[in-house]
This record gives sequence, C-alpha cells and structure tokens, in this order.
Amino acid sequence: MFPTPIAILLFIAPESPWWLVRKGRLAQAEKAIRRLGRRNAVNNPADQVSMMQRTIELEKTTKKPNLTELWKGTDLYRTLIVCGVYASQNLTGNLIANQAVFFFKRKS
Amino acid sequence: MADDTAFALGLATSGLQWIMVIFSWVLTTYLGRRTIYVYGQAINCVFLVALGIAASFGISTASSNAQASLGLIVSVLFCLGPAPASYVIIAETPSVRLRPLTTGIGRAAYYLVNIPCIFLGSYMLNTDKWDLGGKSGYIWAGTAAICTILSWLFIPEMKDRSFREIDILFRRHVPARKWAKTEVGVQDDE
Repeated sequence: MFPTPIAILLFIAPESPWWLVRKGRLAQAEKAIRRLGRRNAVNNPADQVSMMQRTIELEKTTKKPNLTELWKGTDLYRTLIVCGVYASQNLTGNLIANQAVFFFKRKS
Repeated sequence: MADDTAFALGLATSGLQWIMVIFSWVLTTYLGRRTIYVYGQAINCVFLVALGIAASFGISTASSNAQASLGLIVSVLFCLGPAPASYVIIAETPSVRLRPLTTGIGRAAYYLVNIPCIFLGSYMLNTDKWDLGGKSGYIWAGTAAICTILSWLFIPEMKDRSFREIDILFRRHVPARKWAKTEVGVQDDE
C-alpha cells in the first residue's frame, strides 16, 4: 500500500547532485540542484557543483580517525564546543524547570 | 492545589514541550543556531531570576502558582530554543571525519555534569536538606548566565555553511562572533 506512492515519488524525484558529481555528470548535477533548492538559494548552481567537486576531491585523501586527534589543534576547540554544549543542557535551569509540578503540589 | 490537577499540569507541560519542539523546526529555518542558542539561554536566565524572585517573598498560593508557571515557561522555552539548537550545534561543529568520536565524548561530558547536577538539584529542593525551593532559581540562573557568556564567546554561527567552509573557518581561527560576516571563496583551501 505505502510503497506505491513512494515508488512513484522516487521515480519523478531528481537524482542526488552529489552522486552525479561523483560520476562526473556535471551538467545533470546542475539541473538537479536547480530542481532541489529554493529559487533564491540556487541562483548559481555552477558554483555549488564546483564546491561539491572540491569537497569530493578532498574526501578522497582521508585516513582512519582516532581518539587522540580530538585533542589536537583546531579539533580540540571543536571537541570542547561539543562537550560544553552537551554539558550545559544540565546547567540552564532544566533541572528545576522540569520540577514545575513540585511547586504546584507544594502546600502553601 | 489538588494532586490530580498538579499531575494534569505535568502532562500539559510535556504536551507543550512537544509542540515547542515542532515550532523549533520553523525557527531553525529562519534564525541561526548561534542566535537561537545564545538568546534562548539569556531569556531563560531572566525567567530563572524571576522564579527566584517569586520565591523570595514569603509563602502564599500566589507565590507557588507563580513559581510553577515560571518553571513551566522555562522548560517550554528550553524546548523551543536552546535544546534543539544544541543538537544542531553538536552535529555541525566536529569535522566530518571525527564526528562519531566527538559526539560520543560530548555525551560522556553530559553525564559527567548530569550526575552531580541531579544530586545538587535534589538537595536544593528537598525540605529536610537545603530547602531552597524556588530560590534555587537564582543558582540555576547563575550557571545559565555563565553558559550564555561562554556560548556567546565561543560558539560560531554555522548556518548556511558547508562542511568545507566550517573546516576552513576553524583553521583560520576566526573568532566565533565574526563567522557570520566572513566570506570563504570557492577556490580557498585555508
């Protein structure tokens, strides 16, 4: 029942521009970007394609990540932001705010 | 207030939180993550001080209703702004390669702070311990203020940036406040 409309939608949906760029079909990628983005966001799809090309080139030279890298250079800053944002979920008053019922119930 | 009314209000809070998370989808489309996160925290900070003030002038039905409503407002606003924005920031900040590791370490940091905070929170509210009640709003407002200042100083705006641009901006050591105005050319590597 449900797969049918999804199959139809998939058939008319545009191809992934990233996949097209990886396959070297740049003109089609531009067309896909034009169909996927909002009109004002994609006034220059050629730029976006060249951005994707460069990203894909750079990704080819990656090596396996390991834990010590988290504490070096700019990655240390990025790790600390993530840790800080996670930790501060406890520190912005949530622990008392979620006890609102406690104040309702409290006998005055 | 009767027990079952209090319980119903607890349920209503959860329902409102659910709706606010849905509103946050709209909010993240139009506002930057940094904007939502920093200002959301600052606004909650003000409401927490208000909660402390509401608890500071004797015990009355009016005061306990005020405290409860302010607590509800804080938790609902948290679900509209800082909570969803924080997960966006967590997902966007690490480099693509290190993302799974960074997020794991971040979650560990969350529990490292979460466990002592649960103890502290319980001590503050329990009547046979510190019995601060709503006045603990002052303490949480203090921690929230510290978080607000730190996030204003250090969390960059990553809305509408590709992963490549984010990498470059981190490598350039652009101060967090200036990210939104910095341009990265198509051919730039550093």
